[in-house]
Amino acid sequence: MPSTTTDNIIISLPEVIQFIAIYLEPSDIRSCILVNRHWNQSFTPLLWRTVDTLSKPWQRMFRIHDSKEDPPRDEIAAWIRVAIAKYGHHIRQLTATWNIVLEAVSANSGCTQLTSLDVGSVMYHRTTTPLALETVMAALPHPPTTVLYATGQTATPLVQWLHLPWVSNRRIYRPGVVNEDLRRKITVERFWSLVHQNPGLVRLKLPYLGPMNDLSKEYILERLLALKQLRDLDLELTLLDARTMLRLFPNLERLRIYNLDGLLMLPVQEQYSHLRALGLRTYVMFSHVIKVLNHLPGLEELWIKGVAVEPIAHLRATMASASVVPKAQGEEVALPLIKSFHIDETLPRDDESIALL
Amino acid sequence: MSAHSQILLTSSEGTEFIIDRDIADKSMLLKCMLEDIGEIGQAVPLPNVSGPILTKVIEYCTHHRDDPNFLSANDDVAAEIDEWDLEYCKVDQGTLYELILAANYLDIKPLMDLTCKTVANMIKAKSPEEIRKTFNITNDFTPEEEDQVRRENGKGSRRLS
Repeated sequence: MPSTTTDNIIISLPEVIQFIAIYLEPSDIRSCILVNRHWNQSFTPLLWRTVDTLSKPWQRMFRIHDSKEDPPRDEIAAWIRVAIAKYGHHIRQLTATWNIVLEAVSANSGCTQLTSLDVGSVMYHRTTTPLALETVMAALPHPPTTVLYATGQTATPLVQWLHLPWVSNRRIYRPGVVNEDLRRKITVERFWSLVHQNPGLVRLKLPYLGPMNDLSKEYILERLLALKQLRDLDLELTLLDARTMLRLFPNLERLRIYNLDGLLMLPVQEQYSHLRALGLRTYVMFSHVIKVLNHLPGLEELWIKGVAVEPIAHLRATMASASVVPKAQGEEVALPLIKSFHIDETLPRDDESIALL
Repeated sequence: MSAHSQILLTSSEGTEFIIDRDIADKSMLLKCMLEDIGEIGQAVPLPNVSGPILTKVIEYCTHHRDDPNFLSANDDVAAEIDEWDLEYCKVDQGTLYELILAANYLDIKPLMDLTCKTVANMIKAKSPEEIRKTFNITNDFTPEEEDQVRRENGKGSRRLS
């Protein structure tokens, strides 16, 4: 018969609760934390373990899209700030496409155990209260501390921006209001401070924000190289090219990248066997893809944004020479065995190129 | 092959169970142990598992004896539980909990998944009050505490206004 003792056994084993929670929706876990104090203690970390602003259950749970009973947006923002200040240290996987979430998490100095951080495109919540620049500066995760750049410069990106002539030319703020541009820069600043306080990150997706490209390459690389566990990186930056990334991060297992520079000039012997998934966030020619594959013997998944047109003769020639590396170079290297191949959108293509692949 | 050999297990009360090697191999704990030290012909003591629970566990492993997908059987989180398994889990809560503990200890992943899924189904789509009833739990929150937890963890904004 059920008894409180069995209740205690079942939920005093953290491993067991985790197994049960696999089958529960966030809204179920939320009911669990309301059962009693013991259940509350056990299930609270699980409720906050994954915060994903893109997932429907999470959105539903926090009633973000329930327009009928939605409190004013500022109220939701205020609630998110309070809740994340209190429970943010439980978060392990974070998808923060709302600036308010990113802001609140980076302001919580206890949030240091992230293994996955996914930002991508950032949505700004509508606010009725104009933000004063001083307030924003005061609320920064830490007072702009000194960051040592590889270049020897010392300043945070934000402070640098504020001193750039074009920032003041475009007016930092209209009477009392932070403008879009500055807002994005603040988000970028918060993003990097969050990365900084989470050295255990395994998966990282950088924000798609213009100001990311204003940073120095050395600054970004320094921050990324500090992440010793990093295995999965997604970046849509023109600043960092694929060749540099592969060379500096030989342990990456998954990489999505925009800038393919240097990839076609890799010496034949250069092999990156850890890479299992590659995403090319741009249009590429098939023949180029084949060339790249020669360097990735362990690749299982390939994703390409789109295919660029190329002369068919060119492709045929590449195909003929690509399946094995010229013997003069030493041992043969076979093409990897791709298990999953996906093209987002294809440009006009001809059947022969497809058949060749 | 050794598939025909038999293994002797002792439950927490000292009751002895003789099972076929391929049944024992469903438990990763026993499998690794038997591979490491070989079949020594002595009883393997299982001080954490009682006789009735061990009987239940053996029943499960025997039913799924020739299941080729045994290890990945319950991997699909959303999949329905099959009829035999559903019937198998119709036990009182105490037994169900002990089965989870045994599956965890003996490292029988499909049984662990099945029993945890069963507990999860008892929680799913229920209000906190319904969960309390299901598991016979007393609410030891003060109304203020409960209200605060509700407010801080989403969806409770109705009470705010």
